[in-house]
Parts: sequence; structure tokens; C-alpha cells
Amino acid sequence: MQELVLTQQGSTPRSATDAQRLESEAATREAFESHLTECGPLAFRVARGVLRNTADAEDVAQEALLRAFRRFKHLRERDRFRGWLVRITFRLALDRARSAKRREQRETLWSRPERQPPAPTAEDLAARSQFAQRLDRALDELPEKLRLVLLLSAMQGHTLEEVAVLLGVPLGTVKSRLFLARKQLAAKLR
Amino acid sequence: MSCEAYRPKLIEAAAMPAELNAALQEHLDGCASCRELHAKERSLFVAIDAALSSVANGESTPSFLPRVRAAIEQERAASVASHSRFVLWPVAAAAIAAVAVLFVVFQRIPPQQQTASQLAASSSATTPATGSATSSSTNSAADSETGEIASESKVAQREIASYGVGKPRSFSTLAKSEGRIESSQMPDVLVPPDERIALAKFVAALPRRHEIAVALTKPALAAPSADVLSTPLEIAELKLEPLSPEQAPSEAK
Ligand SMILES: [Zn+2]
Repeated sequence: MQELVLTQQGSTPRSATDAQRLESEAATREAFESHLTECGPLAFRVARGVLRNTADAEDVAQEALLRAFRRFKHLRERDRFRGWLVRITFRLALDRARSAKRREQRETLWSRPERQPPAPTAEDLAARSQFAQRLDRALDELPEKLRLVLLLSAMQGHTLEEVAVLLGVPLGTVKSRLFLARKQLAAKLR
Repeated sequence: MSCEAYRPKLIEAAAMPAELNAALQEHLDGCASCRELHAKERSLFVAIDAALSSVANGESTPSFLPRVRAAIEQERAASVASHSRFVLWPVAAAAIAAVAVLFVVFQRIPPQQQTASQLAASSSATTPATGSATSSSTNSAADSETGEIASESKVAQREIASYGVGKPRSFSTLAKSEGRIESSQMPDVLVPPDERIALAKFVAALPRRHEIAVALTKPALAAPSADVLSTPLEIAELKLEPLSPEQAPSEAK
């Protein structure tokens, strides 16, 4: 069957292009995989820091990683990839949190009492201390730039220098934002 | 300096732990209320840091990264498919044209000894695959291509009927015998009777299966011949010399 009707003249350029394309695809896949293994958890943590919910955070981080994959040819360099991923994840998580809040407000306004979500049980409350709940609210009220610096610097293994690289801002800017964030947070929790 | 003047500095010092400046340290050493305030602020920030650490260092579920990989793989496959549709359009067009030409050629060949129905019956008896395809209504739902195969096999049977099932005949021999096509225009392909339906189905499926068309149209790799690479056979009594290039063709015959 190999020598059948379809012997095509001049097909070499196409197959050469195909081979090059396959080779470059394999290289891209390998490079992306190494970034994914390293930065997937980072994206998740950023999203969870905003949403405080594992399932939602995984959804958002996955979306951010897919977007990173689509733009990967511009993001091959490690620091660039990490910085871009952190920013897009944070943005997506904020959007998600806002739309969840809007939905919650709508439901509270329009739903009858019997349709409202059940009040948290004693176990739920025990699981999250009162202080932690107050901190969540205080975090949500922080300006976005301050909140992101606070989250990134609270992640294990992140020095302030690394946060500066991630955000593409000078170290001094990170320090001053962090200082402001902590002061504002403490003022809300005092 | 009064306690009021020191308090903002104390709070700031608690917010960003660093060495206290000498003046502040001196005031703290001598002022119990400021010491208490500083300790309170420090414990507030300890609690904030603990809560922040738990917020910022959550662990994803073990299925998170595999799920991301799967989503990316799906997206990659979709983009490759759309790329192929774009790049392989000429191949698809050529395959469709080839099928159209074959179809026209077969249509113009008058039916020979046997009728189409006889041939269909005999071919379904000798080719189980076709038999099951034509009775597609009884097939499992899992075979989603059954309907397409059934319609393709009708075309195939018509084609078989048009040039008969006897000894293997080639397309070009058939066409030449009809005196309509020059030998150079038609490739010489021998098709045994029991493979004609399969061939017709295969050709009919080519426009949709780009990757098969591509695989078939790719030239074979120019791998070096094994003969060239092998070392000459060595026997103590008998020394074999490799053939010289001039001798080779005549010896080969
Ligand atoms: Zn004092």
C-alpha cells in the first residue's frame, strides 16, 4: 500500500517543516513542563491567598496556567514566566472573588430566608478561628498592590528580593508596600 | 520625649521587626506602659504572621497538577488539529480530487458479467467487515463510524460491481483496456478482489483522515542500505572481495 496512488512529488519541504515543527513542539512542551512543575504550586498559592478556598483556587490557577501556556513563546524565561503567572493569577482570583461576592449579595437580597445558605456550624467555626476570619476580611479590604506583596512575602521560601523580582519592582518598593500593608492590617485587627 | 511621641515608632517597630534604635530602646527600658504596648503589638504581629502563613502556604490537592497537564494537553491537541486543518488543506483537497477522479472513472466503466446485487452478496459473504458494516443497525453504539462505513461500502460495492470480481486487476490495466487513459496517467496498483471494498473505503476516508494521507505521501527515509554497511565475510581458506561498483549491476542480474 505504501507505493499506492499517493506518491506526491515535492513533498520533502512539507515533511521537513513538519519535522521541525514537531521538534520545536517537543522542546516547548518540555520547557513548559519544567515551568509548570515549579510554578504550578505558586499559582495555586496566590489564588488561594485571595480566595481562601482550595477548589476555587485550583480552578483559577489552572486557568492562569493555561493562559501562560498560550503565551509561552513570550514567557520562556523563568523570571518572566513566574512574574507573569503571579500577576495573572492574582488578577483572575480577584475577579473571581468579586463575582462571588456580587452573587452572594444578589442571593442575600432576593432569596427568601429558607433559601439562604445554612449558618456555619460549630465545627465550621472551630475550624477557622475568629481571628483568622477577621484577618480574611482585613486582607480583602487592603489595596491590591499591598495585598499581593503581603501574600508573596508570607510564602515560605520567598525573600523580599525574590518578591521584587516576581513583581518587577525595586526592593525598596517591596519593603515600603509591605510595611504599609502590615500597618494597615494591624490597624484593622487591633 | 513623652510616651505619646514614642508610640507610633513602637508600633512601626513591631510591624517590621528590626533592631530598635538606641533612644527607643532606652525609653522602653525605663517605661513599663510603653513596654507593655510594644509587647502587645509584637504579639499581634505574631498572630498576623501565623494567620498569613496559613493563608499563603496552602497545599493543592494531589490531582491539581495532573489536571492542569491534561487541560494543557487537550488544548495543545486542539491547536494541533486546527493547525493541521489549515496546513493540510491542500492535501485534503488533493485527496478529494483523487476520489472524485476515481469515482468518475468507475462510473464510466460499464458493468461486466455480474450484476451489482450479486456482487454485493458475494462480497459481503467473503468480506466479514463489509457484512457487519452493511447491517450497521445491529452494531454497537460504540462504533460511531458505522454509518459512514455503511455508506462508503455502498459506493465500494458499486465500484466493485462496475469492474467485476475475478482475478486481481489493476486500475491502470482496467483503464487501458477501456482505451480512455494513457498508461502514464494511472498508477499501477494491483487490488485483489477481497480487498477492493477495503481500498474503496480507505480512499473514501482519506479526505477526513489527513494524517493518513500525510503518512502515505511522505517519502521514505533515505536510510543507508544494510548491504553497504556489512563487513565482508571472512573465511580462512576463502577470501571474499567486495564487488567493485562496475561489476555490481551486471552481477546482480
Ligand atoms: Zn512610655
